Amino acid sequence: MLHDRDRIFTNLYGFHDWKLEGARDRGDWDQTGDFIKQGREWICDQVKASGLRGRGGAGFPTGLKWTFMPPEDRRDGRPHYLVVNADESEPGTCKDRDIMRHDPHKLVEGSLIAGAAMGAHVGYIYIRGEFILEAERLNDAIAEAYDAGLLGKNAAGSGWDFDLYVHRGAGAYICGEETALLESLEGKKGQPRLKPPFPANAGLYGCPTTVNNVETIAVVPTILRRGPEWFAGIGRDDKNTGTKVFCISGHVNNPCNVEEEMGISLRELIDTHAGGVRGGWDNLLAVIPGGSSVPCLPADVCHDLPMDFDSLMGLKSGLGTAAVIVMDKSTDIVKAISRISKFYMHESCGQCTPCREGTGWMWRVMERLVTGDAEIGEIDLLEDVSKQVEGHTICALGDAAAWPIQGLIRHFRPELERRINERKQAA
Amino acid sequence: MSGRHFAPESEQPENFAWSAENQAVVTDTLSKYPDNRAASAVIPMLDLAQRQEGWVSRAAIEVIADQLDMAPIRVMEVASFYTMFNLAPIGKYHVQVCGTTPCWLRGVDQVYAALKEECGIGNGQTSEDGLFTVTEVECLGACVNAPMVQINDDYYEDLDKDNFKGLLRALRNGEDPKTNSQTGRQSSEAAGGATALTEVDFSVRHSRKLNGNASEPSVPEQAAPSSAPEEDQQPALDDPARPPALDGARENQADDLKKINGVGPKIEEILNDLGVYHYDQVAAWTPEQVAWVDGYLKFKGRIDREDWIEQANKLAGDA
Repeated sequence: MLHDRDRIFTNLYGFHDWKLEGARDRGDWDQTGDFIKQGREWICDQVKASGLRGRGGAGFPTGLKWTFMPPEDRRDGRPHYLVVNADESEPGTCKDRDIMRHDPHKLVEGSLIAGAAMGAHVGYIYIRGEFILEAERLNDAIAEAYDAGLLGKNAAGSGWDFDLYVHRGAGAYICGEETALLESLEGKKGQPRLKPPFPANAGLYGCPTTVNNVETIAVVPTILRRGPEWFAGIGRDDKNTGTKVFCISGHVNNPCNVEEEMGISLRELIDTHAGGVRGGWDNLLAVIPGGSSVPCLPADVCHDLPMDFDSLMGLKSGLGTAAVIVMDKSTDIVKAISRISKFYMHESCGQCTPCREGTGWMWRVMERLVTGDAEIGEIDLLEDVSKQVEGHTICALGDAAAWPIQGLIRHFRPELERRINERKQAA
Repeated sequence: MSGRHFAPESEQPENFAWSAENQAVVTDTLSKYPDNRAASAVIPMLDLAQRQEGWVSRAAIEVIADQLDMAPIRVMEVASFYTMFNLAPIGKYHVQVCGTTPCWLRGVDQVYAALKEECGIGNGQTSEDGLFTVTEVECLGACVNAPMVQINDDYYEDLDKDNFKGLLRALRNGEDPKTNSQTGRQSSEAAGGATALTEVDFSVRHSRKLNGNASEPSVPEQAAPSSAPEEDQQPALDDPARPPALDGARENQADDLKKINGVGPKIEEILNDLGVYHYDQVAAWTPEQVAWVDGYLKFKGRIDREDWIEQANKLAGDA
């Protein structure tokens, strides 16, 4: 279990003052300018050494990603952009919201450092439209930072000029996909772009751009202050380091967000912070360990399941956004997954046919499986179709729609067959 | 994809104009984007129009298209793509019910029951008094406070049938009910009381010495875990710092070391192999011995961070 002294988001719950003064009391905005003066390469090396991987779901090494931006001697005159992905909408996930409403200065400071590390003088925070209070908080924090000389010309005495803006979306899950987000920021429908070119070459307005999740950016100042060794020393192994904000929702006694050590066991996480599974650990049916798009896992593998990128990948699931959705034995698991299928149908942007048509088709079959109004052979057909959607679309929304269904079939096939057989017998 | 339609011609107003106040907001919004990239402001401006009028009319779309030098159809496709834009007039309170799985698991049916009983409406309907319009929306990102709804700009969380009915009544009476958690939680901390961030010492600073030379980063002076071993060097089994080992559990009755937070079945097995079977053994480890075990398990200081010694002390006392 992580100690409070090793927690980065010391105001995650909003127990303290979120404003600049309070943030400074908690250690934010300390040495910021000095770090930036060390140079782009130094910052990227520090972040690489910390082992930080992107907190938005994919888990790509952050320091490495930053080095994809053209270095100073290869700039071609185009501006560089930092874009912070605050379009938090993966079902089960509500961590960035807490960071933005309660610890906004961590994100503002991190944006300045990250911007400097990638040669960007301008940053945009793209926040989901529904987070209205959170957007106001960020705007207030940014205004405070400008007033205190922490943003703008020679930001925080670093010698680096940096402007930061908040841009609100308007209700589209797909805009959490980085190229859809860029399209949206340019004033278009949020439909993902083909890659390559990758945003580091041609992103916002055709300029070199890096898109990072809120949590990723917000942990960077603390990593620099406490040293990458400190961050790398927390976690399960060299590839799964640091602290992570987990969101524990569903059938637990006390749902909550909590910052914990990467690799903490699922049971410890739930028992220590969420008051245990409703009705006791033995009442656990399944968990979705990383937000709605990752396949569910049945209770029997959950006992000492380490919650980190590679452990969960090994079980054909994923850490995703670390949003743990817990389902106890009272859950209609087929209905629960079907509701996720409906979500993806609703959020498909309509650009690629396999996803536009496939998400609706899969949801309709799922709805029939809920009541057992299907043939046994349709389970295989559904799995087959899900694999024709997966990997056949421009962005990962098709994959995200396919995986929950594949997880259900992998682990709960007998339940699907039971419903079909029972319905047939009753007829 | 969500199918969305514009209001019929009969409901569309003749024209649209920004209020004086909003005209200033438009200017401010445009200043955020590069000069030739005014189209970036289309979502903020549609949102502003909706705030002014309650919904997005065709007239508003045309004014915005003109201001941003966009074809009206481009603005229309944005307005119809993003679900937050109301393309037809709605009630005074837009009750957006999150129906996605995390809220569904926590009882979104209670929210619908309250709406039915209190306002007589369901998804997609507007109450007779024109006050409430219900829309089921997808995940609003407040999942640990489920079930929840968004009404206009505000989130209302930790709902059940009774507290939500009370909330709807308060809104109908023109009151200004408390937003966010309806059960007294500050925010996302555990419902029964926070399990973290109760003992933060803000006086601790983690400043580093930097030598100012970009090519030669300084070695950070920070509180590295005291017990951190050399990189990847597992200490030897015959090292004098190894904690004393037992040949087997006393009276063949080993303690359940898994009760120590941080110890799982695998680590328990390793500890047993090291001849550690009892809480009191762990409790008696010296700092050197902790460092040895920490290194042996390649933990980088986890034993200290998780306070195994203190935990074991307590468990030994309870036993």
